Amino acid sequence: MRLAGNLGIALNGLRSNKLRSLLTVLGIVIGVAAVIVMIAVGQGARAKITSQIESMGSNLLMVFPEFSRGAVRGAGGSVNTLTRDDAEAIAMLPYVERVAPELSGNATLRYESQTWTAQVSGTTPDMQYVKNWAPQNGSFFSDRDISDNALVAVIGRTVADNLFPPGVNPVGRNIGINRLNFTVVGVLSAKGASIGGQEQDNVVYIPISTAQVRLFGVNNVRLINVQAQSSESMAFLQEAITNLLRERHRIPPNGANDFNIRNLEAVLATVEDTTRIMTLLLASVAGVSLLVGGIGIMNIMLVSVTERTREIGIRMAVGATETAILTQFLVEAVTLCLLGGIIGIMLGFLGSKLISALAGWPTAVTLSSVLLAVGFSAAVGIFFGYYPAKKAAGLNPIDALRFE
Amino acid sequence: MESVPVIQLEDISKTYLMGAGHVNALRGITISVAPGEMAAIMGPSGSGKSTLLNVIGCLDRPTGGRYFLDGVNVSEMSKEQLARVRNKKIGFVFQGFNLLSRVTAAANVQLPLLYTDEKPQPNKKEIERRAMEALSWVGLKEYGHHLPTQLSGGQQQRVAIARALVNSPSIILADEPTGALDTRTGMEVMDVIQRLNLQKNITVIIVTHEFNIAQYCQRIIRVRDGRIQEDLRVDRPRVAAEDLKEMPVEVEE
Ligand SMILES: Nc1ncnc2c1ncn2[C@@H]1O[C@H](COP(=O)(O)OP(=O)(O)OP(=O)(O)O)[C@@H](O)[C@H]1O
Ligand SMILES: [Mg+2]
Repeated sequence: MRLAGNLGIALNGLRSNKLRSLLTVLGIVIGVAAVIVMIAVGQGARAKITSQIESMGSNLLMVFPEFSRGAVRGAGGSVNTLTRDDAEAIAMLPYVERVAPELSGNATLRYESQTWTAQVSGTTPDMQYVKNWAPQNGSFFSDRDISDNALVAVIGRTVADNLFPPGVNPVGRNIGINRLNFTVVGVLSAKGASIGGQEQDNVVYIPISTAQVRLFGVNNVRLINVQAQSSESMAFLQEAITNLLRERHRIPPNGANDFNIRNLEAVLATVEDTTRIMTLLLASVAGVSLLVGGIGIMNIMLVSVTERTREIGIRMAVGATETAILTQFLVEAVTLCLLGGIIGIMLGFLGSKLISALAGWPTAVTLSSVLLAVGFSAAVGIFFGYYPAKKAAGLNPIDALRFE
Repeated sequence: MESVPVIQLEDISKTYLMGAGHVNALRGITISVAPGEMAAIMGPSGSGKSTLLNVIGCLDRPTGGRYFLDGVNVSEMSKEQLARVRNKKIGFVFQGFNLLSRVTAAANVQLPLLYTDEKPQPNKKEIERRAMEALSWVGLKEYGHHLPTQLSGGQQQRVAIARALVNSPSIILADEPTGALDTRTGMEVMDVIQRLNLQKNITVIIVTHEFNIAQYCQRIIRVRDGRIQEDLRVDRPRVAAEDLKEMPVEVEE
């Protein structure tokens, strides 16, 4: 018996029962569409979060000050334990690629009559490499600017767009920051929102020395970004920084750290784990509806076998073997499921697009999820089609022929 | 002058178990049928005619005795092997036509060819060609694309005959092939069957109630209570084609 012939017979059977076939596969359609959408949502979220974390810089350790007994507290309730000297000491450690301390605060910017509020962050030129964030226009300030406490600024895209009228190149212009006059030397490329949805482009970078001495009047830093040479060396480096800072801050062996090191790789791994579990969970919920769809297929196939008992008898009388009948009904069930699968994939694709468009939630329909859906629906067809097919094939030809 | 029998039944019995009791549908049937013979099986209702025909057609297995078909013992064959034998050697024609209602006449005729184990497998074109040939043979060349419901009873039965002969079987078995038809249409069907027997030399066995129909056969086997009661040769069987010519066209039942 030829497969092509079987397929023809199966399709013919399905075509002559259009509405029923459609209702039968509805379960599969919904199941597959749900699997596709759920995986797309999960994968999309994961891809977006991952790319956001990676946009913060690769192999990055972030050292924050943290309150502990004996630590020096600043006026604003902030903790002021980290200094530029700490940053420079960290830079001497092995496996360190670059170090960029940060001291930031909000400030009002002015260009001619236009004002705009943004985060002003004092840092070093290494910042552009640590965050992999080069100016699109102009350049970053230099080490020389730091030793000079120079009044130069590198501005983010949002600042450039809101402070300057369209068509004006900000590079070379003077802007006011809290009564000081800065010269814009560079405009950064757009970076988009951070994981928390924070805008990253509403920022102005100025030399850290300028920020400490001339703008904020403090001598601590808020954050030290440390880029490791490789992801393998991060754990070691985290340990080395801890030891170094404890020593420098003279913390006794039983004292608590007055700083906190965040490992972005670890955060990334956690996020990936979380989203993977979420995807799996969503997909298995969707998988349950596929299972329900499969039971629907089995039900209809059983009805179909009973209805077509006479047909089976006729086929057997003209020489169809049990195997041929079994194959015919299996092919029919699998065809039904695959048909449902294909419709489901299309619906799932549309659904994902719709979610992207309406909710602004990123989605990604991957080839693997499509293959999974197709494979699963074929498997459902074989699994739930086997029993009815076996029942058909096991009929006695005479009884089948006599069946009314 | 007798050649090797195409059908040879030796003490065939068939017992149906029915709950507590059992029914002896066949009780020791011994007959042989020569190639090219056309025989009728007659007998009262419930005498075992259909059961006998089903055993001969390998649709059913006897509970006792031996059955040789073309010299091969088929009483010991597996279900799979019996299906192959049915496909290759046997064509069935039923009282109720038994066509697939959802597909065309041509597709019905093609059905046995879909299950053939012929090597190489006939391709689609070849299958269509052979089905068309069989349809033309029963005079329905123009009706291939009709659905069974779009055909008269006689035409449907001729489609069934085309399906029975499409695999060039050695035997055609017909269980009351005219039972659902009026006299004239029945005679037309008999004409087709008789021509099959005479022109293609296919062995034919017909189960019938009507003596009129049995008259076209060379041999009449009477069955009663699962036994052979009488086995007669008819010297000069009637010819359906001649009777048809004498029959006025307008007259219907
Ligand atoms: N599947 C079955 N189960 C039980 N008994 C059966 C079965 N098939 C046939 N019989 C019995 O076997 C006997 C012979 O039946 P069969 O159908 O061969 O008769 P028949 O001669 O063809 O009758 P009719 O002329 O009415 O068609 C009957 O008594 C019938 O009740
Ligand atoms: Mg009968």
